Amino acid sequence: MSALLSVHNLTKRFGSTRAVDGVSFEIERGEILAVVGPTGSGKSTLFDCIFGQTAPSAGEVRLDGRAITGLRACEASRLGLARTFQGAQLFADLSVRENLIAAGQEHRGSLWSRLVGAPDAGLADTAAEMTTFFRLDGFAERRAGRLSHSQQKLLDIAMAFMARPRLVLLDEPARGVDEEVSAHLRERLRAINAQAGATFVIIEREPDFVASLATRMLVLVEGRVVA
Amino acid sequence: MNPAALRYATAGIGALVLIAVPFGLTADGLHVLTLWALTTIAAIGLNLTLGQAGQVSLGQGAFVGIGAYLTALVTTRGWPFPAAYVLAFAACCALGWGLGYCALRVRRPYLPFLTLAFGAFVFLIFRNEEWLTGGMYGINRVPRPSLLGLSLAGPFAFYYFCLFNLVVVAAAVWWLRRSPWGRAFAALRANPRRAEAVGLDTRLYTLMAIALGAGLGGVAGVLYAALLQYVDPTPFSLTMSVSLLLMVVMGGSGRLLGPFLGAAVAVVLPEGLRFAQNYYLFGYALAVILLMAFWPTGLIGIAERLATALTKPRAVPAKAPR
Amino acid sequence: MADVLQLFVAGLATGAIYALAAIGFTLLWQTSQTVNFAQGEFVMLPAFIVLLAMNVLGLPFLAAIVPGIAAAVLVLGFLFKQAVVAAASRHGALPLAIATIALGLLLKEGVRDVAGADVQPFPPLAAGSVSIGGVSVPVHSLIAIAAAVAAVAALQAFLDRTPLGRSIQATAHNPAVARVLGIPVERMIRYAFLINAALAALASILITPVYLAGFSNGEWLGLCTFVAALAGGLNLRGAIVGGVVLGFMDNLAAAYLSATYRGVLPLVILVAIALFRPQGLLGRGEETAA
Repeated sequence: MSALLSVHNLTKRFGSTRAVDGVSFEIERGEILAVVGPTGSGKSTLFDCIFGQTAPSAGEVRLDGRAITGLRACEASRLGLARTFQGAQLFADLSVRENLIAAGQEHRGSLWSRLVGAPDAGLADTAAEMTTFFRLDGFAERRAGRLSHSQQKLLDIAMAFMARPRLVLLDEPARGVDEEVSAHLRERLRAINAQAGATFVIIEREPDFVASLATRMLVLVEGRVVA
Repeated sequence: MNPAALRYATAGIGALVLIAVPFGLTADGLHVLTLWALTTIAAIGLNLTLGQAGQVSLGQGAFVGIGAYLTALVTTRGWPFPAAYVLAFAACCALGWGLGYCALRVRRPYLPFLTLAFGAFVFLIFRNEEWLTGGMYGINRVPRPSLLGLSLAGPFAFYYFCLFNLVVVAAAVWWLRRSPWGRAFAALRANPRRAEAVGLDTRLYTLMAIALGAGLGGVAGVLYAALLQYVDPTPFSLTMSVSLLLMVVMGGSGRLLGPFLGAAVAVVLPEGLRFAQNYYLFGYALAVILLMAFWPTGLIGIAERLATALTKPRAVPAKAPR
Repeated sequence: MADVLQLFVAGLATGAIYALAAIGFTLLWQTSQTVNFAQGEFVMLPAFIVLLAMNVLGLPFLAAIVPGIAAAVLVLGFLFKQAVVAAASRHGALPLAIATIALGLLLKEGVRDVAGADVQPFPPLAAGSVSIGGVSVPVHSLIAIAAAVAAVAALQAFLDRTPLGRSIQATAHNPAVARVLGIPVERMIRYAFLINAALAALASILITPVYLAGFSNGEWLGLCTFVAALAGGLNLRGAIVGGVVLGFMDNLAAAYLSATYRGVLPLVILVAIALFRPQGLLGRGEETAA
């Protein structure tokens, strides 16, 4: 069976520095890959290159055999990729509910149907489910900028799942959240992985969070894979 | 009374006033009111470009002019009025799209300058290409439309026709803002990086906003030509583009009723201040600078803050609803 | 042959002046992300201040230049930054852009209200023509070229060789890094505004004899400044190249094409740059939006 994601010799240069240096790996469907390494080892840049926030200087990325190197982020998203960002990136002015619907609406219907169809793009129920699943009940109408840090991280992750992605890149999902939320999050991710067969790549600085979760681990130091 | 109810009440009263007031106006007054209505349409268009997509266009005056000249050219040749609409809207949308496409290829600020250059060129065509536009003499005897045989040429009938146009445009934009497109624009403004990452094609939505904004400018131009029944190049200068931009901002960029208020300040107010006619633009520009320094949410923002202060006298200062 | 030389000199003179305005505009953008939509009016206004000094204070032309430049630096440099830019930029880039657009309108209408709508003559730095190789060339054009070259050379020397200049350059290249290095970025930005005002004032004095003093000069001058700066890639060297190229093309167009086609030049240049070289003539790669 071919790999879901295959990264080959990915390199990203900024001037004379190589933030990512010849990284190669493959992930099968249903795997949970942890990417660990010290700060500045290029983990987030690796995500940027895979997802399209940055164009890689060299190398290739394939999703289910299809080359996606250098595609725009919105195109990668529509092919089934999703991600979170290191500092929770949300639509701060919008409510939790609106954040979730925004995260899923582009994957339903067409540009035209989004203009003339239902204002919630048919996602009201899915958003409500997601709110419950990630224990954000009661906060659905609160502005995302007004949530606590832990809640923002949870919302960030919930948004990533709104479009039922095949592969999710999670960038330090447990950073700065308290123990209870961290455990809850681990359990939720395990549940999604089991139920929907979703595949994850998780960046974490602390190996503890991913130790019980991940099926494999990749260690990155100064842009290079060392293990 | 909660703020939402206050807003609906204001809108309702405003609507009644707009329907009833022509009966108390002179011919001049009605002309100004009609001008206000079609200016609001142009401002609503620019509000899409600026308020929804966050793009500065300095060419809206050129699109109004293109709509006006196209109308004059085809209706004086016997084409039916609806043809002018379709032509003006389509041409301006296409041009807006083209300019937007070029501008979005460049990472630096580009659309303002591109539309500025476009407007300058279009003005020169209006003024110099006599064979097409009549040059400084313009085009005369532009007919007013008729609906199913009924002539809309009289000042009353034409005013209500323009008002009808305004209502349709405003309703369409209201619908757009409620739809997933409106949410897409909000996301695009709030966090463009995240928006792209969730599959939102920020470029496409921005282009739509620019194109539609330009198209509505063209529609306003159609009505402008029919109002004056004469087009000449002078009005469609940079000053009109800047004025339209500033009135959107003054009313409240991104607010539904902002363009109505902004156009009123730009079109109706000067009539009441005839004595200061020559200094009006100066004062207007100064007012906008002060607004940008202290109340960038515009007049609607100020009105809302006042309303909140009045309706909740003892509460902890609440965030004014959008 | 005579035509070509005359066109060359005229093009170089106009281009040098556009370059001055474009350099100032670019400096503001690089140091503080300020887009000064009123730059055209900044080049229109100082000439009127000089005329004011001549007509009201009775100063001879060359003496009147001093208060002209001083007032420009004070109002268009210091006051502009402290009053308009500082206040509006608190609320974001968009309010700042709108504020400068409104300022342009304010200056234009203000000059029209005070000085009237008619264009007025403006004295050149030196009158008459000289003969170069049998061709008659206006002295003023040569002075314009010399003045612009001198100003650019002085600016370059200042930016490259003095500690203050190097700090300003560092701020222009990367304000965040400059801050980390301990450079008082806010003060550097203020200096950039003053430099811009001075450059605009110089451009004003050099170009107004040719254009005549009119309140609406800012429209065309502004457009040329923006095109020069953007075509160059929004960096200092690019501003010079963009200005000179535009000056040449503009003069060629004025000589051989109708008024309409001359007016299409800025649009054509901007579209061409966007389609074929989005990073600008002298810009670095990675400038195309994804």
